[in-house]
Amino acid sequence: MRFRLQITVLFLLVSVLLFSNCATTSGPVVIGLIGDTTFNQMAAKGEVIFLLSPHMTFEDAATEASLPSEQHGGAQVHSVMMSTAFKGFHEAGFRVLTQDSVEYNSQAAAGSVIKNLNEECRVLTSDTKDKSALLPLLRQLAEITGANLACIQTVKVKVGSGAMYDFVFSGAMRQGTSSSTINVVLVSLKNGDIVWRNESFVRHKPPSSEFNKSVKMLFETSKRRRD
Amino acid sequence: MRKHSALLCTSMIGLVVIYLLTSCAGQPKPPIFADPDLNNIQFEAVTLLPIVDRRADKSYNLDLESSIGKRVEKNIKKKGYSVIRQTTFSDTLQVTNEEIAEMEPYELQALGTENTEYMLMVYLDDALGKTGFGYTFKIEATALLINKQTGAMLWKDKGIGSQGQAGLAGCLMSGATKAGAMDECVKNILSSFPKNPRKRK
Repeated sequence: MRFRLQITVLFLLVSVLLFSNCATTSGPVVIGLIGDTTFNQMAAKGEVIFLLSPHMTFEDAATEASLPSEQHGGAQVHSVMMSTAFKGFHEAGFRVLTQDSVEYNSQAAAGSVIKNLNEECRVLTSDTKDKSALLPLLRQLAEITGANLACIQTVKVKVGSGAMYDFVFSGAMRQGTSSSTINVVLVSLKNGDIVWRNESFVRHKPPSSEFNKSVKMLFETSKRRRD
Repeated sequence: MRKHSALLCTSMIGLVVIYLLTSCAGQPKPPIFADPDLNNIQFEAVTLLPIVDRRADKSYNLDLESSIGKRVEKNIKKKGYSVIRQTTFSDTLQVTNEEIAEMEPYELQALGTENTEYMLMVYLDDALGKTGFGYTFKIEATALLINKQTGAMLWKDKGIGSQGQAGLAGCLMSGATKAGAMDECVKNILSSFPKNPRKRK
């Protein structure tokens, strides 16, 4: 009888040990929220955001060699990021514009400005780099679209091996090595200053529900604080 | 006759196995970047700067110097170099871990002391220990060799270590699993680091 009790207690202890920490650290995390108050003030005023296409980088996790986006769900990433950002800003109170919403007569001019801005997204999303050379482009975008803010999104996907569990022979386990870092920035078209920034990280590659959740979290952090 | 063909068959299988084993083993992985003249540059000492934590998710606590720094030092010594470990990034410059993590390779020249010649920067990119039905630990790191005098990047490589064991044994052996993954990661990075030509023989 006593032996049976000991076995039960031992079994319970082992179960608690095994499952207590299960999957607490592999979900998406928000890592850098800046300008939360400004975000809410601008949203309350209903300011106009021009949404640029996300800048995507896909690379091999082990060699850093760049990989073609088409083979790693680039089109889906583009679609998820554009729609989530549109919805996130719209629900916060902003007016959101995309290239499609620009007047027909101005589309060619807008296209050329957007192309140039996309090439400079590294400078635009940096807190330390000098943006003075890009001010004419930003002001041109404001003139054409009527927006006063530009949203620049970047995503870096590291494609690595998947998680593995050799159940039959050794019981060896390995964690997956894929990850995605997503950065979203609101830049003032008047002076090039970053007025709001948020960044999230998830140890999954797209297309996946974890990646989509990670993109959604970027906009929810500010929304939750406002509520 | 039958005995003869059986012997021939066995030796053929043996040869195929030997061929497969030798062709699979020992292909050294090329580094992400290596200066074409790297093997001709002669240096005896490498200055190892403090490990830079550039993880996006820093929730997993890790003592970088004792876990990564010590292993890097040991592996560089095995390559035939002496290692000078520095406790600060610079004598003159006030820079934070975050600022260094964002520096381009050419900007790293500003780090190190006046006497530094060849410095090794090691970045921790990710680390995660997970307890579930067992224990797994994964670690990713990158290393760069910089010529402090010219500012040139001479070598760069990256390593990933991931180990784990299922069941109660896995949970009880979490320390060994962690150490194994770190060893694997550091060996992986430095496998393409050139050996000191003077100590090659």
